[in-house]
Amino acid sequence: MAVKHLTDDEIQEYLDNKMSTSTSALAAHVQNCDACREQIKRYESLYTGLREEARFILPAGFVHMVIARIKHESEEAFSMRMLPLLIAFAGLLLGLGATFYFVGFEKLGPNWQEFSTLQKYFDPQVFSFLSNFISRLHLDFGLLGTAVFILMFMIVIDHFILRSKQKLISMFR
Amino acid sequence: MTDVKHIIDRVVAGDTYAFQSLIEGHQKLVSHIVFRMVLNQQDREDICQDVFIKVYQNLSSFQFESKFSTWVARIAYNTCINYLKKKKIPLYDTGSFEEKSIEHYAGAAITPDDFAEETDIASRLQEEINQLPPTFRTILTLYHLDEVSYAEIGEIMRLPEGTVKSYLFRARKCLKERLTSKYQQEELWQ
Repeated sequence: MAVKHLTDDEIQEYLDNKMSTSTSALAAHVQNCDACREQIKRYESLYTGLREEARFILPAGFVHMVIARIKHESEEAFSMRMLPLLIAFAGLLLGLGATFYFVGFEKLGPNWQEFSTLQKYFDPQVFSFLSNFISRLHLDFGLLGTAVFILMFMIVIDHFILRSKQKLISMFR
Repeated sequence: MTDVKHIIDRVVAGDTYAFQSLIEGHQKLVSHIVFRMVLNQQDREDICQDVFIKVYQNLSSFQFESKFSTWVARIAYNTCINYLKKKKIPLYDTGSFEEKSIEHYAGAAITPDDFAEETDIASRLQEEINQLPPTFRTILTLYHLDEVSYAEIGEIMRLPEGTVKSYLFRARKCLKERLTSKYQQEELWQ
């Protein structure tokens, strides 16, 4: 009659203490079977080796590095949110101010009355109204373009300032 | 758990330095997962930092539906998965590594000169572990180094408990066979 040796799975179940069959039957077999005892010994050595730390060591100061990075990213996130908004708002004010200054505030006065009428906002002919309004302003599109250019220039400058700041910080980190 | 909850509440309220104790309590677990899954030494520390940054950023969303360590381990595992995908490293090799273990090493027992290069069984074992797919390496580490149960490993890696057990048994069997085939029996199994 062929001897039924323990399979690899049964040995591992036994070593993991999860064997469902009777351990006394297993123990009796192992006691009389050199081959199975040898296999169990090999698995036990393997388990011992697997429990070694394997030198997974993080550098000293790792915790402080993480905290410093968290603080840095929090500050950056704040400035990333606020500064472009402030610059864009300042640019918009500058552009509008330049436009109104060169157009003349007095020209806008009567036309502004028409804008304030709510009905005009929902008029299907709102686009023709806007076109007439703009033409009555006698806008100098060159000046308007200058205002827009100033706004765009400030956004570009802001972008380069932020990038340079990020590069400098990463150099010294 | 109460301590962890208390610390989390402080961190969420803005006490960044309270996060230090969470890092200290879980950096071993995170390093085990990252160092096993990521073999590139230069990237390991950065990835460990990335893991804790993500833990910090998502701390307010942790609702204690699992253990905190399980949640942190899952973030570490997912961060490593994303890294490996970017590097196009397969997570699981469908069986070919097991076939290779017998064919590759049968009749190619290590010579005394080769043996001299790797005198430490731990080093030999680490070398063989590094040949396994990342998924298998992670399960071995979580089970044996961090003493995590099958169920928790399944939670961390989003695998059924039965699959975790199957992978674990296959990984160990493969390692045993590789080591037996490759090295002199009497030198290895002391």
